[in-house]
Amino acid sequence: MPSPLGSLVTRKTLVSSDLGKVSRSFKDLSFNFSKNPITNDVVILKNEEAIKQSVKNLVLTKIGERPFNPYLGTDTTSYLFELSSTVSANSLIEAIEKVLLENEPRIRLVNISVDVEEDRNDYEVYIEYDIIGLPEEVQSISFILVRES
Amino acid sequence: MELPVVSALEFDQLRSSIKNYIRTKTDFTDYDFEGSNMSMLVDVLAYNTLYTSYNVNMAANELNLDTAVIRDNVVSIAKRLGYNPNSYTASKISVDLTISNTTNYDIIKLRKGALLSATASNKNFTFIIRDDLEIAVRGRSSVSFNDVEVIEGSDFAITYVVDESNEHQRFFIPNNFIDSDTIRVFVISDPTNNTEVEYTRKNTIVDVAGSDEVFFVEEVQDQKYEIIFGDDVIGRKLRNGEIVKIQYVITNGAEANNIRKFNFVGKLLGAIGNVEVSLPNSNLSWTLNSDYSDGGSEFESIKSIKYRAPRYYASQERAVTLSDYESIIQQIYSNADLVNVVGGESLTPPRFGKVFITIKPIVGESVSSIEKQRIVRELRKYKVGSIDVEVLDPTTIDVIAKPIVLFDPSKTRNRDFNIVSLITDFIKSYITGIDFNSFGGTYSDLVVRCGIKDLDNAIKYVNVPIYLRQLVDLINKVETEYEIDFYTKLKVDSESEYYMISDPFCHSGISSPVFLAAKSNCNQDYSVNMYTINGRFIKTVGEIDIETGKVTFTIQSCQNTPINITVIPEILDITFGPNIVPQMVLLQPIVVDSIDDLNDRSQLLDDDQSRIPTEEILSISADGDATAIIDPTSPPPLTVLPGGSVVNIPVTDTGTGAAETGPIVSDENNIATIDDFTPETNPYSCS
Repeated sequence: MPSPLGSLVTRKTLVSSDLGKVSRSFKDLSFNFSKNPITNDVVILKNEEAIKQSVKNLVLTKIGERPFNPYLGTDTTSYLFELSSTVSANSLIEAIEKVLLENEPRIRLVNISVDVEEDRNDYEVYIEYDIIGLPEEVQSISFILVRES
Repeated sequence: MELPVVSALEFDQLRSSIKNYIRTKTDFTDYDFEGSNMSMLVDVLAYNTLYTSYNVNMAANELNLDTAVIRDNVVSIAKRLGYNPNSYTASKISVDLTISNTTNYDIIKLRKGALLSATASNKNFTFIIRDDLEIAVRGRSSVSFNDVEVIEGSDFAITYVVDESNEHQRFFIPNNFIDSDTIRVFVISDPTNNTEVEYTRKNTIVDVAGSDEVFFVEEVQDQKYEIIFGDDVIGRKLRNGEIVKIQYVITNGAEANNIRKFNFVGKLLGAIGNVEVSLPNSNLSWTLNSDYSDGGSEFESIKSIKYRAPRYYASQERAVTLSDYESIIQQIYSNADLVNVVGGESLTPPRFGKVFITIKPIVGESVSSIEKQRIVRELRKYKVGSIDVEVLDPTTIDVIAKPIVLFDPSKTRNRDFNIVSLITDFIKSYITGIDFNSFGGTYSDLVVRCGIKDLDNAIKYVNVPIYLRQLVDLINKVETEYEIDFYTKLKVDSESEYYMISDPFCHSGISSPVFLAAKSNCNQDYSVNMYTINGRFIKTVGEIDIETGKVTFTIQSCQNTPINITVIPEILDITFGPNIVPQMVLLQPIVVDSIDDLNDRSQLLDDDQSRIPTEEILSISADGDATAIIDPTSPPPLTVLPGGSVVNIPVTDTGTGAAETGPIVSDENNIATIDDFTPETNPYSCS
């Protein structure tokens, strides 16, 4: 008798070194819609790349942007219009932490840091995290928030 | 494999449906994580599907008369049923004008335009005539214009030039407040000689030939009207270059109804040959043919269109059954609120060949005589030839209520004035409901009390005492038997002095005002008695059936004005008769937050609160018969009886202690010795 989930679940038998959890593989669509030269199909983001894209999406989604989900996202862009200070940087860290803790169960946050570039009027954001269930090294993502003119 | 359900109208349902579909595939797995690209794509898909479903659902609703909510769509569906919704209609009144000192003129003219002006509710209204009126003098010293119908509003016109190269050319009237019955269309076929040919308005294509100069009127978008011309098969088609002139009246509708006082503002001219001179208004005398202006109404509402259109279609523009009459009346008299049609064959005794139509107008107390004549005239186009139609005014019974409410202020933010406001709103809503506001409507004490109780959880006690009042039109100087029916059992043991009482009125042969009444409590009987205004009994003039609520009396009044008959109902759930429209009069409610606020506790706790305001009723001014010889207010003279004796009226000396010296009556019970005797505490008990 076939599994009700069909052949969807292809679990990697990887055991997390610290939590003892097993992660499955993750497959997400790439929004650049480029073509895979071998399969001629759309490029697929897998595992840590898919998660990295998800983290970036969550941080850069503005609150109220998602239809019928008005609380998803952060107010990161609004900080760009405040005075650059450690206070606003801390608020930005809290907002990023909150949205990732609530919406991305696949990661465990290791560190979030924000460098305030007062002269350039931007913030440089570094996010470090572990992927729960994968024995990979700490993942990091960084991006610069710039006020659009 | 589960296919996505795209008919849901909730975003979450659609989203989970799409997710379930993707779950059956192995290509992507991240749809469950809000941050993933796939989740974003699912959101966009669900959002798109939601609005597609919503639009399809709303569009489907707008295709049916029952579910459509946009007026343009309701009107469009009604048009398919042959029903043209009523526009604003102008209020009208008929007037007779007489001009004197006319011998010096050949012709007397009344210019079209404003004829009368009036002010009502701080707003000015102008009543116009739409054509010049002329009358030849022929040597007479005075001439008259009779039955001149003036309508409220202002005359406007718009002109189009027919352009056949524009296949989308349409002839709109660019105003919402027009009376569509006033539309006139003139076509100038040859611009060189400006000869205007007036086209005839048609509502159906029956008997319309290809060459007939006719037009049709339809309501189109945004409550505007369009003039439709023929196509040379049904009516004459317009030719290129022809000039179309559309005249119409913009009106204030029902606001100009019920106006009784007017000023003449018309332009009167006397013509001698080709010379015209203005005539002074001192040469003019004019009289209104009805008491007040009537017939104005506003746009037909969506609710009304939905109700009337299918019924109008069912009547097939023929008045055969009673419901045919009802639907056609609504069409030809748009100010109708309620219509009741009774066939003469169902009356006792039967009156074959007659149909009685009772109309309660939306604005105004009754339909004016000129409008009644117009309705009868209009009905000739629909009715069977041998049927005679009579339009009647409805009989109304006032239900006068004074709610008493006790509430706990600690359980609500509402204060007493808020609760009074809530009660007023509730009663307004109740009296417009179909149960109450209809011919043969029902007043339910239970519904009213429960409705008030439900207004606020803090309301602990509700009592709604009522009394009933019905207007009787008196016939002057003619002895007439009147019969009125309250359709409920009457309460005879009320705390009022009378359980039935009339307003004071003038009665022939009696020099002071009189009133009719029936005593309550110990003195009660089932007679209608006539009293002078100071309470002196004159005679019995009728009787009351307290079980059915019928009151009959025979009197000869000396006034034309109607009087009210007031009674208290024993049973508070009343179904009125088929020709009766109940109306409710709400007196100021008593709302208290503590029982101690009341001077008399029994005022609140006693269910029996219904009282007739006797003093208030008897304080209404009325005249006596100025020609009367006998003054009934003086004691009747002693007369010699047939046997030759004279009635002796015993006189009791109450000031000299005669009772003490009189004979001692032996009282076997010797009531003075009974220790446990308890006197009656209820002064209204008859024991």
